[in-house]
Amino acid sequence: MGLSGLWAVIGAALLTVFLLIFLRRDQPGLATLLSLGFSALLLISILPAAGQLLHLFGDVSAQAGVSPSYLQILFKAIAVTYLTAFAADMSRDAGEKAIAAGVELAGKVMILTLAAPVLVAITEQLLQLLR
Amino acid sequence: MDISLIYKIAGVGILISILNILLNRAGREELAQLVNLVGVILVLLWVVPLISQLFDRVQQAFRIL
Repeated sequence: MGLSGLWAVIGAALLTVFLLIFLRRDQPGLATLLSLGFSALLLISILPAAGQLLHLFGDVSAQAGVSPSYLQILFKAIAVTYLTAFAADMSRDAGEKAIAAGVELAGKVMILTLAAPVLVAITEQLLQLLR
Repeated sequence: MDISLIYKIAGVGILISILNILLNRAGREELAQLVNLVGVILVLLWVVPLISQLFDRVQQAFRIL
């Protein structure tokens, strides 16, 4: 995504904000759907570039000798963070703070569950060092 | 980035706002409510595939099975 892509994102975002000013007052439900649709479009247009970056990151880590399974855990955690932040922000925009907090809690629990093998591995290494 | 969907949703929103005002003035509140509902469902039908596409793309980008 070059500089022209950035201009497209900025223009579309400002246009959406402008339309949302009209819609938010009369049609709050449609306004939430519009902002949801815009966010989804934006993330979809950004994700290929993000995927390439992650691929590059993976290549560099492989050269540095990092285990791919640990890297996979890291990527999964990032994906969970993106998706839960997306859902929580949408809920917060619609005024549902309780649901946003619930989604965030679910994301945290999910990430901890994903990271559990790493924690166990670190603890085992520490115990081996101590012996 | 294809923003025609943004225009479509905003257009439906403004159209429904106008219909809402007209129907309310004509004393057809129940019809206005129905038009509101139809608009929201129509837009929901456009947005839901987008969300599912987003999830697919995230899974592809992060290679999650």
